[in-house]
Amino acid sequence: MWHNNKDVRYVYTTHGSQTAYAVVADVAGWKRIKADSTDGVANVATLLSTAKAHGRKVNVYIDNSQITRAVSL
Amino acid sequence: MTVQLGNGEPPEMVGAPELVIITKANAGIGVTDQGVASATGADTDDLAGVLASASASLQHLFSDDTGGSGDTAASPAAGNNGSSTDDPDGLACYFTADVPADQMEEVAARLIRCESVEAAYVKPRAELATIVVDSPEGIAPAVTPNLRNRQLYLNAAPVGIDADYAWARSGGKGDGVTVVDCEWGWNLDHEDLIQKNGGVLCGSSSSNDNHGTAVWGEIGADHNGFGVMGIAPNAELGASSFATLPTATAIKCAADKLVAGDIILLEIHRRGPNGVGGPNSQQGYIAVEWWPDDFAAIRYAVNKGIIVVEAAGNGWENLDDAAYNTPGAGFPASWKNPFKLSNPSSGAVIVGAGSPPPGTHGRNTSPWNLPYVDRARCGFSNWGSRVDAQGWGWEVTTTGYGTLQGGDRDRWYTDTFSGTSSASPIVTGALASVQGVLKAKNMPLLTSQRARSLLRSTGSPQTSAPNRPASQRIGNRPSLRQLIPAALKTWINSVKITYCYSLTTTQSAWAYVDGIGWRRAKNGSADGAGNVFDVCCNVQAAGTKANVYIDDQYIYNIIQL
Repeated sequence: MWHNNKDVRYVYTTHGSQTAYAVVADVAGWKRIKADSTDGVANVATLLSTAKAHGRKVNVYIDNSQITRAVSL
Repeated sequence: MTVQLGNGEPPEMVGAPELVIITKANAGIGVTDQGVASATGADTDDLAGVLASASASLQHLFSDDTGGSGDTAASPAAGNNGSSTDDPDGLACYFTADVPADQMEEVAARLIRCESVEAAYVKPRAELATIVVDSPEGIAPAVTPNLRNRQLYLNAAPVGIDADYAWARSGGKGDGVTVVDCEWGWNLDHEDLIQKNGGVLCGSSSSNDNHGTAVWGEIGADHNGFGVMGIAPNAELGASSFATLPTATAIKCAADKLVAGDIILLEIHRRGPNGVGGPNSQQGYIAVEWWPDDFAAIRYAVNKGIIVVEAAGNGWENLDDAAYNTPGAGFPASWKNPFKLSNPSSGAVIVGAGSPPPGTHGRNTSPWNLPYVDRARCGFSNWGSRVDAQGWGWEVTTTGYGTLQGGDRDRWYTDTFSGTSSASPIVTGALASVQGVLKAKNMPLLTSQRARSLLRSTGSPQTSAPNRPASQRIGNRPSLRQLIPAALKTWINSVKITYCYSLTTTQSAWAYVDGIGWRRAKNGSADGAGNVFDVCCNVQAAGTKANVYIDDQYIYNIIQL
């Protein structure tokens, strides 16, 4: 489901391939960015990271406890 | 078929010679009820004396009643002092005077010696850039047949401009675009010109209206199942008439009726310095921008963001000829040959006439027995580095004239419309299609300069024929299949990114370009698309701006500012 107009609290990545997580306001716990493709995970992680850095709100779609898409507002 | 190797039009279809006076900017010359006056205190006695001796009065060439700058000398505060930011083109300094044609040269020679006069010259009469074919009498069938199969210029490239490609795209029939044809007369009641008929916007139509009717038919004839099909039938058609207005006045008036992205078509040419033929010869006739006042009017329109399309003329002339570097008698000292690419340009798209394929309408040669070689220069067409593109110069099927279908004149059609007159509407219609597509996509509309550039870089190339080598440039024939995608691909500068959006699947990232819409980071390489999206996200999040190179689907490049 979509979680709209939220702050990004944290973004966490490791050096492992397609391993990135985020905490979104009002959404419980760390949510992994779904490991569909190398660049796709990087794009979503970049979006969430820059949104957090500049205080932008986001919409995130969480499916099966994984972030599959994101919009920076 | 009788072909007249000259203008051959009845008198009401050609202009009269025009006397043009350009006053010095700092003289602040204007016209009051009492005659000539200066807003800056300049001496006008000599000017008034010359006019009085010729029983003539001065009139603004670009006057208020045609949307011009109007009289200002009576009111110095109005600012006809040559420095007004309201008149950056100096149009308030252009005048004409009601002097009999046989006295114009003598009066111009006296005017040029007046203290406040920068230039005074006589323009030969303007004429239609067509090769006239007599209209046979005939009886029309009860219902006009569908004539589309005779309009080969609509076909796929290279024979035609590939109109079907444009028509299949949203806006590609010229939606939301207005095209004003500047010439003499139009049959506003023609059966195939009903739907987007905006009428005469400036001046009054001549009763001899075949030429304008033929031009309108090429650009915008209705798609109604009978007759011909216009290239851009959803474009609004308008007219500005030289029948009652000086040419420069009619051009500026048209520009004042239009907005950026609209199109003006100039269906005229006039005798240039190499024009030594008899009264029925078009030898040496050239595009009108060579004369300073017409150049100024075109520049005014182009600076408003209007595309101006201009017939190159049927003068059999090389516009790169050194003769065109010499100013006409009485031209201002600042004048420079506009046909020379290194000189200031009017910005207009200049169109030459190209040959149709052999066998078109069962014919293989022009009346001068020059063989049809597809896309080779028509013998009569002017050529040169300044010519941007070509259209069909023979065998154009369209409305008017009655040579293909006679009977009631509101149902007349021809398949022999010709000249740079028939070529220019083809390019005009193609550009109207492009502008319609761009409007539908919310993309920036073409300027006249960009239209020139794209017409030169796309299309079906000019070919050579005996004694008419492709080096005698008339440019490419437009291909909408090439032109539209090229026009859609453009830089948008200093723009915000409003949103960014990404999926976790590969190369699935979009950014919303402010005022334009969603565009996908161009897929093709994962890291490349990722880099573009990375910058989009940074620009969006920081609230800064970028230059983006986009089309209607993708962001290809981005520069973070």
